[in-house]
Amino acid sequence: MFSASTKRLKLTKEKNEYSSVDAESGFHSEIDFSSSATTTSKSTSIDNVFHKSPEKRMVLAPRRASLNQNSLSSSDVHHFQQHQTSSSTSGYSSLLSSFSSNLTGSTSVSSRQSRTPKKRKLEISESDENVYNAKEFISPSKIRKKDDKKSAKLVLKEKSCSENVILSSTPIRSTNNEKWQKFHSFHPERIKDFGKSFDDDDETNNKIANFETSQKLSDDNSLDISSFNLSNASFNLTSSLQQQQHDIPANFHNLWTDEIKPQETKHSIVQSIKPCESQGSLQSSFSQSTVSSTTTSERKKKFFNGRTTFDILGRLYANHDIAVENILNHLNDESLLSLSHVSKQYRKMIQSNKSIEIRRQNYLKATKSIKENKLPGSSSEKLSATRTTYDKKKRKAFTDFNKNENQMTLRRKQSPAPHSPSTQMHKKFQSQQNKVCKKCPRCCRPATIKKVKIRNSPRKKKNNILSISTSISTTGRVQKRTKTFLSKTTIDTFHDSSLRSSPLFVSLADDELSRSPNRSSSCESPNSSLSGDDINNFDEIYEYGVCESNGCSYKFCVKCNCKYHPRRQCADLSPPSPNRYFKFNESGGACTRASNKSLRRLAY
Amino acid sequence: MDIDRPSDPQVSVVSSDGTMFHTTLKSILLSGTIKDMIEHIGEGGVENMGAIPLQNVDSKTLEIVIKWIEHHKDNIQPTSEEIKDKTADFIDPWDENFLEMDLDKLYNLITAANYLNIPQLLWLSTRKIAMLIKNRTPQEIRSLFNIEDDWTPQEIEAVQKENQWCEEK
Repeated sequence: MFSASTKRLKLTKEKNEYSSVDAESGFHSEIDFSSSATTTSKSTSIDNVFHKSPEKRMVLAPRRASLNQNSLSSSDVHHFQQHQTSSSTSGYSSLLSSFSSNLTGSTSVSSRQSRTPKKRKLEISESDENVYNAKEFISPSKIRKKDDKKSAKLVLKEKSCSENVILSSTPIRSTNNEKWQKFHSFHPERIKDFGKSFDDDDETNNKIANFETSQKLSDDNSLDISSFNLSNASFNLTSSLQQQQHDIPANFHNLWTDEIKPQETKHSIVQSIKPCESQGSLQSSFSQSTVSSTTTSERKKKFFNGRTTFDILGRLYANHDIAVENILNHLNDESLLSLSHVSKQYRKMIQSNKSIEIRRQNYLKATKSIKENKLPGSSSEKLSATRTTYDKKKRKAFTDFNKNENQMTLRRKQSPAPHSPSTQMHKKFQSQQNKVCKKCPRCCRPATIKKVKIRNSPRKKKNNILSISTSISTTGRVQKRTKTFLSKTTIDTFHDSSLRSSPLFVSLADDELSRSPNRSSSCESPNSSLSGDDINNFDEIYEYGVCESNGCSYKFCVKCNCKYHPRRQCADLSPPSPNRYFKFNESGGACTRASNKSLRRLAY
Repeated sequence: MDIDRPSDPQVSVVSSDGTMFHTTLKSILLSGTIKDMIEHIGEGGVENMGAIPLQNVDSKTLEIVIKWIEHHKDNIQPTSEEIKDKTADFIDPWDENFLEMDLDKLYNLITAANYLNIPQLLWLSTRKIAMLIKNRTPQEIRSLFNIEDDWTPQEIEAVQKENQWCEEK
């Protein structure tokens, strides 16, 4: 029979005596079992296991006294053992939950209250049957032997504790046999996987129990580590039973035989013990310690080629090997950048190689330019190499807007009705009002016609120029009545640039010219067109054209379309000299008799 | 005399630790260094030359190198200039398996390939290391080569500022 007083194991916290800190977990964990006066032999045996040194025994004496007050009964230890065996089948969670429920008074009471009297009876009877035997607790070999015997009972208990639906909730079986049969027929796997379901249920119980223990640890100054320590101890013990399933530390069995040194207790026993947060964490912590070593080594073999500590690049760089450059050339820009962040030496290694440093810098610039401005149509976007189809799709959204905009621009730029090329040219030539235009002989663009009145001095008149009488037809053709020619000497003296500046030449505005009455009909002789003193002063009016186009601006004579020649008569229009004419007739032209004769003579 | 003479004469090389290896002339000519040596000796000198000492290559590495050149003796080996422009990632599976070795062996192989002037082997071995580094974070590379992070906090800030555009994803 359990009583509240016997089940609760309350130990006062004595740091100097029994606490030991795990180096890894930083967790106080010392197994300390002591029982009441009736179970002294058993307690000593436990002490032999864990604290064989005389110093430890001395230390244990006051603790035992304190424990006697709190009185851990044999049933507790037995119950621990029982759970130790049960954990081999059902896991750690059941053990922890049951301990927490049994050893903590408040929780046990509350849990008991929730149970039915039938269940309570069942539990009590089971606990009575499993009488504590300290020797069994001491040696794990004996535990293993008894394990098989007790397994059947434990399974029953597990079922009764956990599976309320199937077994412990007997109403289904007892009242409705048909229902049970149906359930059995439809869910055989649930009955097969009984242990699994039990574990699942225990997880929840275990969480509750752990929460309670943690609360107690935090709240009470007098440390109630009964459940906690026992659970830790159970972990060690049960781990031996689970040797088939997991690998355990090699020195585990030595714990039972050899003397335990203080350092060993810290590391070998306590090492894997952690505050039991959950079953998963326990299992993982246990499995990590054993299995992780193998997996990591495999991983290392796979990824690091069996070596973990070999700075191959640094060594090659130190030896000034060319291979470093080869390695860096193999890398892409991104990994080059990450390599430069590894250490200062690696950074220096990359910076020492110019081509690779340039690559890195370019990559940085490229990433910056890509990520800086993502707005479409920005300068960076235009600079970027290619426009993807995604961008084109993006523009689709604006198609309607673009359409409207295009229409608006079309309306604005409504061009006039089309004209024939001849009319267009005509308009061009007529566009300049009050200006007479002529076609430029070079570029065929309109050229304005300007007139120059050439004042001939009387001296010159006497010497060189006699008189000029010209008549300019509207078509621009000149009927010439030349009597005298300007001397070559006078023409050579006047150049285009000097003409305007010289006092002899006065350029007239077109308006003035247009005002003259004879302008419209024909350009008669200057004497006839000009009146008064002008007739005396201006002997000649010379017309020339200036092309309006910027590229050309060709000055040309209106009469012969040759280059501007103000003081000289047009060369082509000058009549042939009599000598020339005579010679021409003498030699005979083409198709004349003489020529034909000569040709015949040459042919034969 | 010509009939008795083997078609491919044997050449022996001695490693730094005194181990002698025998191989064919054709295969050993893949090494640029040994090729130069033989060319300087001239015709007929090969048979009387004896063992070629290779002071910078140990026996284990030389064994690996000879294995590789024996396998590739019939292949046309690209020159070092051709290899510089080489960008194709296709590699013979045999070479892939061949280069599955520890990092220290790989290091020795690189140094040996560099010393013996075997551009193709050097290219392959350096590529192998580059593949180990490729697409890894700086922290992963540190753990791979066991390198200490010697950046000061100010330097880290400067680096982060420099690479802020690359880090943002």
